[in-house]
Amino acid sequence: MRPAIRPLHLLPLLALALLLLSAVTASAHKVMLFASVEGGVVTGYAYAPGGTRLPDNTIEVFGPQNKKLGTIKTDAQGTFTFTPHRRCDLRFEMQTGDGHRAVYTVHAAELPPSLADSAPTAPQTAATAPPAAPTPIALPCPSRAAGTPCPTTSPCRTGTPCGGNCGGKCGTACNTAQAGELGTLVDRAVSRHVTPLREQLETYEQKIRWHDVLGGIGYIIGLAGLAAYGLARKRSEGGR
Amino acid sequence: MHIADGVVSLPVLAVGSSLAAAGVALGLKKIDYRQIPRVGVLTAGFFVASLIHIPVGPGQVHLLMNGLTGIVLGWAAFPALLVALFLQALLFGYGGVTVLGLNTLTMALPAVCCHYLFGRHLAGQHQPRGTFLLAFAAGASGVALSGTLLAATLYFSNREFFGVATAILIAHLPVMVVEGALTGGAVLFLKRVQPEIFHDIKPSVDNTAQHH
Repeated sequence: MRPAIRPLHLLPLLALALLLLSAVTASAHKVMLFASVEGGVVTGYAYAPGGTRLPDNTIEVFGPQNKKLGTIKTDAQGTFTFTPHRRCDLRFEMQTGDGHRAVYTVHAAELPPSLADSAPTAPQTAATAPPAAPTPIALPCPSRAAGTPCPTTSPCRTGTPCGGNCGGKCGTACNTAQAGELGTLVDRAVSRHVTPLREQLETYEQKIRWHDVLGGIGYIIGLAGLAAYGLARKRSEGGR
Repeated sequence: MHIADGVVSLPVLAVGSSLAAAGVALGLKKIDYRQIPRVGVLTAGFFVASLIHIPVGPGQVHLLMNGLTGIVLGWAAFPALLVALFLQALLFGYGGVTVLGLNTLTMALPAVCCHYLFGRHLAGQHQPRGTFLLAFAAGASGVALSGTLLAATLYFSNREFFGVATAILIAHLPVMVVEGALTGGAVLFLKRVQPEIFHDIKPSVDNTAQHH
């Protein structure tokens, strides 16, 4: 009679498993969110590992203290947009019907400073942020009569005499919001270039790596060894 | 098929985890010394199977292989899947650590059902066709039962049942077919090289008698 167990013959099964592993598309089965800020609007998308977009999913937006700020839906391409009214941490939470859940947080610091700070946000983000509310400062045009158009196209700077395109008219209030226009443009350009990098970083973080898979199998073999050791000891003690 | 952290309600989590704990305890009690290599190999197989994805419509589903685990291991599927799911949660972020018990129950209970429904008949089955069909049924119903349990879990967490259940089951139809075929192939292969694997190991068997 053959012995009941021939562990060597289980090896083909392991080989089969490893063979199947070669079909791995380096992805996981869960759902994920990605969001970035562009010109005061949070845009993002829902996706499954491997890059498949997830359309028609409801995303809830939470502010500080779990205050619900709104509910949005992803469109046919799985993308969504959200316009925040305050500068605070935004938590995007998506639950799909089949038990998957994804969370993505957009930090207050990523939002443009022109948005009003919300009182409940952490003070450190408020401290590092540039002055938020645009305060109109009436600055005289030094050499021109009020009401004449400004000839130059240089932008206004807060605190300097207004010689530039302050609403196109001399004598009008110079507004930090106008100076902020340039900032918004820069913000937009930078985020356009940075977003792909951040996406790449996210994907890289989610990637399943061979060493993780092999490590897991190693753990299982180790545990089986431990169990065999424990049971063998119990058996030999029981036999005595 | 993995439920994520923070989706189900606390009572569901508590009940699911306690049931899973009971299953694991029972499974551990039933593991015999000679069964350990089997448990190890099938744990590794399950651990790896979830990495194989099948694109379905907009999303993806993955293999489960809880049917195969069940027909070979029986109740020992509980501790086996617990370990595999724990490592999946830790290394790949599938499911989560707080829902570990619930996910174990969702996948191991169908495995045990497959053992009693199909696995036990494999030992006496000598026709390749019958073997394949039994194994196919085990693989497919492992996925189907897990999907149903998953839908039930979500229902008890105050969600509607039929829409979710149909969506899950429809999404997993291709998985059932692939999984059935793979289980069939694996069982046919095992039947040839290791037919004893489908016989229960009786803990009372005198081990010394086998050394000859």
